[in-house]
Amino acid sequence: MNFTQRVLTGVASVSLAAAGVLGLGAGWGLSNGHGPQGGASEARSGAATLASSGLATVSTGSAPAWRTVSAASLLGSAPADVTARSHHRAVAA
Amino acid sequence: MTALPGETPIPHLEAFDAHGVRMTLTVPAEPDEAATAAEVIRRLALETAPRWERVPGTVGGTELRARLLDEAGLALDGLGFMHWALSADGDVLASGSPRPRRAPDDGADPFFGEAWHASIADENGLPLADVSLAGTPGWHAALAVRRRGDGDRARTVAVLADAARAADRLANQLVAARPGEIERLEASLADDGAAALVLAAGQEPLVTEGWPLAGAAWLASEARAAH
Repeated sequence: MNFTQRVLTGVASVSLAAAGVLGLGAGWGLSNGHGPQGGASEARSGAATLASSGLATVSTGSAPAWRTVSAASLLGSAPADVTARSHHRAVAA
Repeated sequence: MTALPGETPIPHLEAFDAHGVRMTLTVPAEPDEAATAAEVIRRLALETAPRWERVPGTVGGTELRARLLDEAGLALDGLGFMHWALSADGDVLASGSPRPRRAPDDGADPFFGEAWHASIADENGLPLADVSLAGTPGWHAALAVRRRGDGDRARTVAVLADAARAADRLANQLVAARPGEIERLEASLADDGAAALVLAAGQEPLVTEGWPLAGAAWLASEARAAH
């Protein structure tokens, strides 16, 4: 069985699994599967929460969880293999 | 399958639409293998998406693409692909390397190579940040980017996690959080072994301790624990 035949046989297995025939659950055994997140993409209505009160709050006492960095330190020089971007703006409730 | 004794194939990109989600697959394989893998993912997405759309809150939300990514990643793993990068409407899930090292003669760790280079861009394609993902096959690295607001109220967040659904959930929480709540979300990020970046208009970028700055790679939490 060559590679393509083997993969397409795998496709049949995947289809059967997706249909529940193979008895696999929705999470497919993911160790960190999470239940349905109702309204997970909902952002709070209005942009009032984004006032200029600032986001640069840092925990005192123990090592800060958040820290500020320069914009330049976020960028590298290697060409990207894949690009991530916000495809849709979060939808208000 | 993708660690070849000879030259490593140039990463091959396949793009397709699956149930309204624009998906891409980049895999260092011969074009026919890449096309076959893409067909597997397309069929999975077409057959899986209708089922997920019956889950409350999924329709029109980001959870659908996150579920597609996680299931597609598992499908690729199950079919023997160890090196690949998937994207679904801008969210990314990657494994292995775009340029895996050739198998050494001693058989030690034959598949490790350079990490996937991911660029985080705004809606106009302007690069905001670069991050390297994964590098060790079998450990998925997910990247989710969310944005809200315009002008001086614009906020962009990016989350790295070891599963697309975790990255999606945490990114949605961060982008919707009030300024005073962002600090408290660090605990949620730490619990999931995730890292985050917050870009707010007119302010310096904020990162958690786990966010890889330029030149560093981010590995999934279990891979980090093992190394």
